[in-house]
Amino acid sequence: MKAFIQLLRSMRFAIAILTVVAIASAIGSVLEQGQPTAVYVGRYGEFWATLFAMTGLTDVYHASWFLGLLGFMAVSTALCLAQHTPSMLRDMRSFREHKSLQSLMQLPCAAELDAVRPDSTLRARAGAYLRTRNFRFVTRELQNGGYVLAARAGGMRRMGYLLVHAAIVLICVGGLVDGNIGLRLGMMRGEIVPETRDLPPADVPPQSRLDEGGSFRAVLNLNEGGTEDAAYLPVNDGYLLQELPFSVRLKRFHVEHYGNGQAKDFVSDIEIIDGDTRREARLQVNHPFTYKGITFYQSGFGDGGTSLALDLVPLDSEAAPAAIAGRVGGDTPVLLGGEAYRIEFTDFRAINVFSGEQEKGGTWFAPASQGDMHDVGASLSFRLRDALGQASEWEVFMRPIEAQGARYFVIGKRDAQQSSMRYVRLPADGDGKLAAYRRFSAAMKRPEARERAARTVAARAQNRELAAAIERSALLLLESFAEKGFRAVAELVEAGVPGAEQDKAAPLYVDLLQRAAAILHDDAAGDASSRFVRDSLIAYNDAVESGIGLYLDLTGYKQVHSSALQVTRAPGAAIVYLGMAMLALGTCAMYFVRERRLWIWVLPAVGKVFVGLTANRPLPGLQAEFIEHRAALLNLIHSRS
Amino acid sequence: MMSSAYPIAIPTTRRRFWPVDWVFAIAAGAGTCLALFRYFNAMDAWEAGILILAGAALGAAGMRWRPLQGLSYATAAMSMLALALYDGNLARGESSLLLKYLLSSQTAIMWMGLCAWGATALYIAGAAAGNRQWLRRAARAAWAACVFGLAGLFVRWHESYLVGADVGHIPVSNLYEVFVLFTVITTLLYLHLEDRLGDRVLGAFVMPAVSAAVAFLFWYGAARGAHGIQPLIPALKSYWMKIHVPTNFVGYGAFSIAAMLGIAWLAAGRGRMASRLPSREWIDELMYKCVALGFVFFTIATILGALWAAEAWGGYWSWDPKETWALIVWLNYAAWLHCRLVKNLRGAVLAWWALAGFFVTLFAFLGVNMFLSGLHSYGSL
Repeated sequence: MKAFIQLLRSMRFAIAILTVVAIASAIGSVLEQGQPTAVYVGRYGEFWATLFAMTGLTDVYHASWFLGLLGFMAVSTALCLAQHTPSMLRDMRSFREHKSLQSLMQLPCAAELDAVRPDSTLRARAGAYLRTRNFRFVTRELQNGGYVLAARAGGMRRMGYLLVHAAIVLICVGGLVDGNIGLRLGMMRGEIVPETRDLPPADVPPQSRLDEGGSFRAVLNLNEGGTEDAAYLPVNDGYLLQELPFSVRLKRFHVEHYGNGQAKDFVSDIEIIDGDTRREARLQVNHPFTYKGITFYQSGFGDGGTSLALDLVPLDSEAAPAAIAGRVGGDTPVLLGGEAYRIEFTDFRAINVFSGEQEKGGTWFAPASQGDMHDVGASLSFRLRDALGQASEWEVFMRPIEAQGARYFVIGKRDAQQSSMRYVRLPADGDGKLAAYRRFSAAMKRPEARERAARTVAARAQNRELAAAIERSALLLLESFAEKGFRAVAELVEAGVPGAEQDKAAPLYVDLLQRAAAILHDDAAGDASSRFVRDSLIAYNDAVESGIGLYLDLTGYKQVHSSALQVTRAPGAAIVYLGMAMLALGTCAMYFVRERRLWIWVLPAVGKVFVGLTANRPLPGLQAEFIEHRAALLNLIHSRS
Repeated sequence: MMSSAYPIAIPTTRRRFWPVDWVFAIAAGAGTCLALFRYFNAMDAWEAGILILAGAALGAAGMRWRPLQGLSYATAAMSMLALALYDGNLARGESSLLLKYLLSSQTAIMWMGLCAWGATALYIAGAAAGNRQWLRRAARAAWAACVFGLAGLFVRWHESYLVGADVGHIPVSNLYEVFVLFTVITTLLYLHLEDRLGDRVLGAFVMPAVSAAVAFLFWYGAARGAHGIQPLIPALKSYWMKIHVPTNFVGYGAFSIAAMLGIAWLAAGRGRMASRLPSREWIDELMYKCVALGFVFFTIATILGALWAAEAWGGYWSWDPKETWALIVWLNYAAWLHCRLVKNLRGAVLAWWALAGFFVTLFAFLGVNMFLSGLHSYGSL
């Protein structure tokens, strides 16, 4: 046992613990923490995922061995402190006035000064000198009228040592209190079981509910106008319900913006309802609110059920848009091409701030500017689910977005098996509407329109002999493109042209397609500028490839926000803060306070003065300092008042 | 005994203040009052308190280290001239020649970088040739870099308010701005060390680190366009930023100098440098001083960060990657100090360790932002 304690308080053990804590922390920062098991299996494979789970590496900072390490660090520091405190305090108070002359003269900084007849005022003047150099001292009388001035400065440095090490113990203790050991133990014993089902708060079973006692950091999601009296504590793959001793109502949430649309602040106006007491409070980022030891923080926001009025715009026909209504979080049945679907609205954002394109002209020397962030307007996210239950995710921007000098309606889609959203840019016409593109797209789908376009292209050809061949090619191109997009053009080139000629032929095919498409536009009385034609072809191609056949046009909305509040209780915080204050003071004391001891032996009988200087550690500059003191003393000895 | 001739940090006699010192103290006080009255509406009570404490600290520090006085006067003069030239209109930055080529923050920062590079070259040449004249000029260039850097930051602070009244903020909010801060603080710390040591040769080792920071800064500004003034995200809108960030950079700066001194220690044992450099005993002591100073400031900065986190993120410690790496840096230097102070370890091990510690610090400073996501990346909310 004694040997064990010896080990615990040894410096080698302390440094070993420091190292292991550092390495474990580093692992925790590199390996993503607290993810569901499936994530690790997917990323690292079954073997590593199992190993990580077994060793607790997926949640290092709450693993029992890591908390154990912190505990060891606290114990080791505490033992070291207990061992050294008495001697430190003794040292701080002692002047070591009984140090023998012999041991004094063995110091690296010691000297013997001749003083034939030391003045009787030397004692007072030496004392005054010591005081001006911030020394405190005691005097020991010797025989034959001799005396020793034993001085020390900077005793507070040792206080710094005590403060720093006590602080580490306090911070560890406070941290462990807030580390919620009770909860961990309860989960280990199986008394507390995280809930994995998505249940309304009232239905969460008792073994997944926590009462108001311990420390916690939970999340409270509130819709505008909604009231809750319990918060969610995410644990592993599930959650626990943290009951609050009062209810909280969200009166209003809003986002403040800078001139460029970037978010400036997130503000929740809440009301605490505690029996008959009602307290109103405003939460902002960096401005939390505390009530009865429980602190609320603004931590996030989302949509709390915005109601929407939309026009469902088919892209393949010129049919009139169908008006639909919905609510974020709810769903709306629709008919698409005669089949039944449901639109599940998942999110609505009134403002989206993106950084625009890099400006080419700006130089590094140009004066600083407010970046190039700007608001591109509202966006809506939704899932489109078919009768079989298969869903695809969509995102649509409600306002045309400017890019390279033209404006586009942007809509994106992601099928279940795709990893990222694929966006289509539908060109806006001269009026900023989708009408011209819709006419083009509808014409592309109509066989008689395609035939007319092919005929017109052929009619414009100068070489009459080739006209028939051109018409045939144009028609084939249009038909294939209408079905498969640019991929069809590539297939036509591959099938119809010998290998060596393909590189030359492809641009000709594309040119023919563009000319035919321009006529398709003219035909439909659209805007025939070639940029618009090119954009339309690209949009049509992308829409075909990603299966996007509709656009949603927002006609009205009433926004309802939800606000995510962090709710915490940290009873250990006071201990930790005390520890932090001591740590700051202590490190300052240890660095800025210089500890010195100076002895002046005065022996009038033999006409000698001895002087010696030490510091708490070997210092290369100590000699120079000593020479100063010696010179000053010599001066005192020889200048008689 | 002769190797100990360096008068480091020894107040030779009881400190005597000259009239210029009192003038400086009064000037610092007056400047603080001016800022307080002029910008009172832009500050909350905490910020006013921070300003007053900063003014007092500047006055006290300047009285104790006289070169700081010249630095302060020059910086104040340049900044106020720039403010007068701007006259509340950001577009003047293009039309006024003085602003365009000398005083606008962007230009001043460029001059800072060039001065730092010049100082580095002169330090290296001076140390290699044993030319005191060059070393003196190197120190002057380093001072000029500090003046330009500080003035650049102050002017940038003003410019941010010209961009938009609600956009204005202290320029320590992104990687570009803190690199300027790092350059200035590290150079100043080194100049202080040099002044106390009375020997300029170590600049040849320390200033290359500053030059590397400047190179990164220029690349970051030019290639990534990082120099634009952006409005603050909500999480950064707090008075804590004004104390947390600069304190942290005193720590980073001191740790960087310690690492460079580690290299100097290793070089001091061999070849031609051995005769030119201070003794290994002294370099070892200076390295300790730098690590210890860095440790003090890094500790305080981490504590301030924890207090800020408690206010912004709802907990004083979240094991966010930046926090975690701050702890790792802290533990590393704690172990370094224990080995030196308690185990009396000296020499090559500590020198290599200080150098390794620099890479740990560098990862905490840059690597975390580049490779790990977390609360400090400000991706959420």
